[in-house]
Amino acid sequence: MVASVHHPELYVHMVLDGLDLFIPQDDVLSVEIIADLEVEQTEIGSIGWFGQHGHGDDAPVFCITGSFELLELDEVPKSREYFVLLKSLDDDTLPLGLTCDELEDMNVQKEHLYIQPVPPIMRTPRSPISELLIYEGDVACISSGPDMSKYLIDLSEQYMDKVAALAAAEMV
Amino acid sequence: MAEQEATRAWLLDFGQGLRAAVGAHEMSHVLMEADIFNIPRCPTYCNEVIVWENEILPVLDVGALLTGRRIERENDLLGVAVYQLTDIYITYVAMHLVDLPQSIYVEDDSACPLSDYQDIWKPFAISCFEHEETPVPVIDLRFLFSGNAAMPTDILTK
Repeated sequence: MVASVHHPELYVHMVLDGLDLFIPQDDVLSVEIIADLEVEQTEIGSIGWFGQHGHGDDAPVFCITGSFELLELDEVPKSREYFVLLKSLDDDTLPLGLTCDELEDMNVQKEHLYIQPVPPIMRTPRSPISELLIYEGDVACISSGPDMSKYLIDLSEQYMDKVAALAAAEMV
Repeated sequence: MAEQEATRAWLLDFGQGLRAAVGAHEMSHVLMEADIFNIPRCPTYCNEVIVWENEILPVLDVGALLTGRRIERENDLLGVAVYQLTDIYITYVAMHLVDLPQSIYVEDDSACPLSDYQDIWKPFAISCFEHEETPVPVIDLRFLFSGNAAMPTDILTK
């Protein structure tokens, strides 16, 4: 039996439009460059597919702004050079990709970063952000991989609803 | 005849005609300017934080919470308030202000009910007193920042 090793102190530090976002490395399958992405605007709102992750079907890759709004392919900033592949939620779901401008490994213990929970008044059911930390004079957000995956799925469902509503309106 | 007792308090002006008081011990600092950071997917009335004494504090826009409207502010005035979170712990929070807090004395016999037009304060007011012929609610900071209140304007940031 092989026990999985957890490293709660290790994070992937992503930058999106100037926003610092930390995701636990335990929740990340891999980090990739955008050049390896098969780019296309998809019906589910992703900006392409990534098929080299070795976990079955191609994984959709999403692009969001620093305020966590979904972007379509023609809106993607040129600065998005990387994406992380978040581990799938369960055996029935695919890994999901999330693009970013910059990324690096981060050991919060070594860097002496102090993680604080999101204050109760700021919490909303739809937010994937669970914790905050002070990083290089800024305030960074922390999301778990599953919470970010659920958020991306939620955005995708909203996108599909919007597309369906537009199509229905055009038919009238 | 017994002498009137008076308690010190801070009168806070949140703009949009919204004024309320907190106890003298509940106002910690006033910041004339601070770096404010936006946090995505939080309610519009509290989607900002500041770093103060190495702590991340939520910044509440009381006007936006109570009326659903954010107003253009002419200054970056922030009040840092403190309250007892549990028997052991205290916690600090910040609120946008449009003017410097005013130190006032509240006479014991000045207690009064909220006016009808102040209904929006009801969930957050622990008491009310009359000051300069106007009822002033006293805020329950712990409840206000608990996230448990039935927010009158539960609006998410777009």
